[in-house]
This record gives sequence, structure tokens and C-alpha cells, in this order.
Amino acid sequence: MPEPGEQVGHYRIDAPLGRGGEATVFEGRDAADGRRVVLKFLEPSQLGDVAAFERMRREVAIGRSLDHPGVPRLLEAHEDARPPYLVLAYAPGRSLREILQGEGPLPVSRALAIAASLADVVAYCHAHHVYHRDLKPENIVVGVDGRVTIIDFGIALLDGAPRVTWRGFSGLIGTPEYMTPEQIRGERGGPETDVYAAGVILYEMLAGRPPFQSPNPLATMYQHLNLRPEPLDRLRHDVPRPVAAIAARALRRRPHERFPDGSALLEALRAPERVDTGVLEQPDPPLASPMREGLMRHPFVLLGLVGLGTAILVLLAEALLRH
Amino acid sequence: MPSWVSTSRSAVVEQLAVGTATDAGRVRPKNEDYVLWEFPEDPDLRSGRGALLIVADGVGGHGGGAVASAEAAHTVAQEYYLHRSGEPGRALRRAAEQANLHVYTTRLGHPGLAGMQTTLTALAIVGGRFWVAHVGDSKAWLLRGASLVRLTRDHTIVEEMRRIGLVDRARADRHSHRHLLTRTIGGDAMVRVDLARGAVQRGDCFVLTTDGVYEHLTPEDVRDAFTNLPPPAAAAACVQDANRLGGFDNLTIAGVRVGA
Repeated sequence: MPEPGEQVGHYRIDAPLGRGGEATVFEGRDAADGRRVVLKFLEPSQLGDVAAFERMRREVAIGRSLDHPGVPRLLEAHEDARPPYLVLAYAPGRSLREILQGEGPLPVSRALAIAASLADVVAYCHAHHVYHRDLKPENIVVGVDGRVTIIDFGIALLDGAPRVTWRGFSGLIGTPEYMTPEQIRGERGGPETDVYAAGVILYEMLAGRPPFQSPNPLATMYQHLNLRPEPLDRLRHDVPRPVAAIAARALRRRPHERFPDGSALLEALRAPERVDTGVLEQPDPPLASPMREGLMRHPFVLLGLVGLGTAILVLLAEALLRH
Repeated sequence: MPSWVSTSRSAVVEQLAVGTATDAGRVRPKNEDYVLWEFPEDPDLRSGRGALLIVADGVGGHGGGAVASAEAAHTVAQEYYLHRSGEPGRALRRAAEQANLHVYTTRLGHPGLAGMQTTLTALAIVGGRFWVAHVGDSKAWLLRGASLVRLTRDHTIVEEMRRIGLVDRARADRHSHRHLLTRTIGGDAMVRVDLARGAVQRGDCFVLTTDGVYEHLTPEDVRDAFTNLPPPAAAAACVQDANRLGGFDNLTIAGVRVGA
């Protein structure tokens, strides 16, 4: 893996920006014209993993298919280099994570502006059949003008692409705070997946914490599937009920009950009072546990368990009466 | 022999018939699995430590996965047979722990092998008893009569999710994170090694596989192959079938039948 101070191609590597399971990212500079860039190197440990290469190729394809100020432009792809790397346009600004860490819960108007800018970029991606699937504050850069750039399309999905499974150590799975119920259950995800993650981010900007969190990643996953987030307008009295309703609808467990895509979310954020919140009147039951699903598929097992329980109760009652 | 079965071997030693097959599959550029069968010539060693069958599935770039799986398997064999006294199960577990330390220190000492880790499933058969030491998501089965009993539990994030009820078996089997391991040989300086044990009966067949086999075959397919064919032919047939169905991952299968 190259180090800061080294030169790769005609780019000088400056500060490291981050390291994930599959890639290490540096800020760099074009030695020819001084332009700032982002250099993303595939982790050497992932070399030889066909799925990791497939994800990198997909990121290249997505980078070439998108042209929006909210998506860093792909400048170069060096898939044959060792290690392979991508050169992306640098997105100036601060990550939303830095902003939240420094400022805590944001004023409602600012949170709504960032959320709307995020939804605008997401809507553009969805219109081009690209689903990011890994939206989180670390992957969102807020410029000085308040506009959002989404970075790291490493696990994004282009409609029609083959499914690739993850292989390696479980650290690759990342943080579950922004995972959707369908991702936790192993499904592929689509536009509603980004809507859910945007809902988590909106919630976090207003509440100062994501709706579900726990020191144990598995417990956080359980919460996504089974618990209801505390309504935002109950946590903060200055959050208007329609804004809380937008977050609540985006966070519905079942994808078809959320806003269908980024464009619908954007429309809601622009006019919160006109949002259809009918779905919030409906119950949002926990996603059935495997045991319940199994029992539904095999009702005789349920009947048998009920019968067994009744028999035990009768025997216990009889024993007590004899005493 | 079909061209894609890169290595296949068989041995009939005393009352054990063994067959192994390993192959890169049809997608991955190289085979990072490793299979090892040991049954020492030395009569004392043979009576005290018996036979050893190991499969390992390496991960990590620059060929590190292949180094990790081979190093782990040979370290287990060396450590297991080095100490002739004591209970075989304890010796097998200690050997797996030594293999973990060896792979861990090797990857720390060689930047080119920085990411290497491996699964490890090792079966020891000594007299009328067996022991299975296990880390990762390779699998060991005991085929006894018509029943196929799983001897290992996967150390994967999805298996943990399944155990606490987040996903059911069907979802776990096709989950996109099903190969993400929570425990590996070489991942950390120390590792908890699962140990299964039991009595051996005449006719028992033990089957060890890496996870790639189950991308295409069901446990029942494997059971049928080892029920109807001698271990060498069954192992080769399973690899051949998995390759015919896509060969998405490296494929390794090893079976040993007792009292064959």
C-alpha cells in the first residue's frame, strides 16, 4: 500500500482520508497542475478476491454513468495497477460525521436543508438506476455552500448487475446503525434502502443520535427489525410534526411503506405539510422472527405446542389438587 | 479424470479409506484451499495419535490465503504428532491454537501476507474415538447409516444472526454476508477453538468440506455421494458436480470411512 509522500502515476499522495475493509483512501494532488484529488486503493488483502474486484469494477461503471455535482467525478481507473486504484475528484467540505461530532443536534432548518440536498443527489442516482446502499454521515460531505456530495459508491448497485457476496473477516460488514431491515435479512436492497438510510441520517441530525444503536452490532440489527424509534417530535419539541412524520415514514420496516425513492423523499422534504402520512396510522409490526415464520408455515407444530402446554398445565393442576 | 479436478488422492490404510479432492473452481484465479491427510507409519504414533484429516480455506491477497491454509494445516499436523502423550482432543485443540499463532505472527512479519487468514477443520480418529477441532466456516459431517450429523458450527456473522433469530436458515443460506467470518486462524493472537468429540462406529464416514462446495451442492447431495461411492470417487464426484454447476469458489472435500 502506498504511503503519504509517495507518488503514484502523476499524483502525489498526501494525507490518509480513511481505511475500510476493502480500500484505503488518500487525499492527493496532481503533480502537473496541483489539482486536489482522492486516491482510492484496493486493500492488498482483497487482491485475488473476485468479488472485491467486481465491486471495484462496478464503482468504475457507476462513476462513468453519473454526472452530477453531488457525485465525485471518476477521473481515472487503474484496475491493472498493484494495488489497483481509482482517482476521483476531490469534494471540498466537511463530512457530516465531523459536523455532527462538532455541533451535536442541528437546527431543524439546517438539518432539513442538508437532508433535501442529500435527497436531491439520491434522486439523481435513482433516476440512473444506481442505489448507493451505504449512506451514512461518513459518506456525506457538506460543502461551504451547504450542498451535499455523496462519496464511496463501493457497495453501490447498478440495476441488473450480478450479485456478489462478501468474503473475509466480519469487520467488512461495517456499522449496522445505517443498515436497513432488508439488508440485515440478506436482501439486495433498492431505492427504498437509500430512503431508509436517509431517514436514519435525518433522525440523527435532529436527535443527535441514530434511532437505533447499541454496543453490540447484533443488538442494533435486532432493534432495526423489531423496535420502533422514539418519535422525533417527542424528543425535540421544536421539530414540527410533519418533519417527524417524514423521518417516521422513511424508517418504516417494510420497504413498500416508505417513500418509494429519492425523488419522493425530496418532494416530501420540500413540502413537509403535504406529505401523505396515512401509512403511519397503520401498525408497523416487528418483522416476524424465524420461529414465528416457521410456525406459520407449519401450523401443526403450533397446535402441538399448544396441546403440550395444555397437557402440562392439566398435569400440574392435578398434582397440586392431590396435595 | 476431468481436467478441472486439479488434485485428487486416495488411500486405504488399515481400516480407513480416505478420498480427497480440491480444485480452484471455475471463477477464482487460484486455489487457496488446502487438504491434508496424515496417518503415520510409526506404530506408537499411530496407536497414540491415530489419523488426521484437515481442510483449510484461506483468505487474503497476494496469494496469502494459500499460504495461510497450507501453513495452518502443516502446523496442526506437526504440533499434533509432536506431543505423543495426553488426550488427543486436547492435543488437537492445542495444535490448532499453535497454528493460529503461527499464521498470525507470519502475517505480521510479512507485509505482503498482511491480510492472510484461514479456516481450519481438523479431524483426528484414534482407536474408537474421534475429535474435530474447528475454526471458521468449513464443515465436518458424520455420515452414519442414512443420517448425516453436522459436527461443526459456522463462525460467521450470519450464523450469529441466525442463532439469535434475526434470520432463518433459508435466508442465512443465501445471505450476501454469509461468508464473513467472526473467527479465523491468524486473525488475532488468540483464538477459541471449538472441539467436538464422539465414539466411532464401524461404517462411519466423516466428511470435511470447505464452504465453496455448498454454493452448489446440498448436504444431502454430499451424503448421497459418500453413501453410494467409495470416498475417493465420492470426493471427486462432488467437486466435479460443483464445478459443473458453476464452481464459484474454491472447492475442497475430503472423506474418510472407518472399517471400509
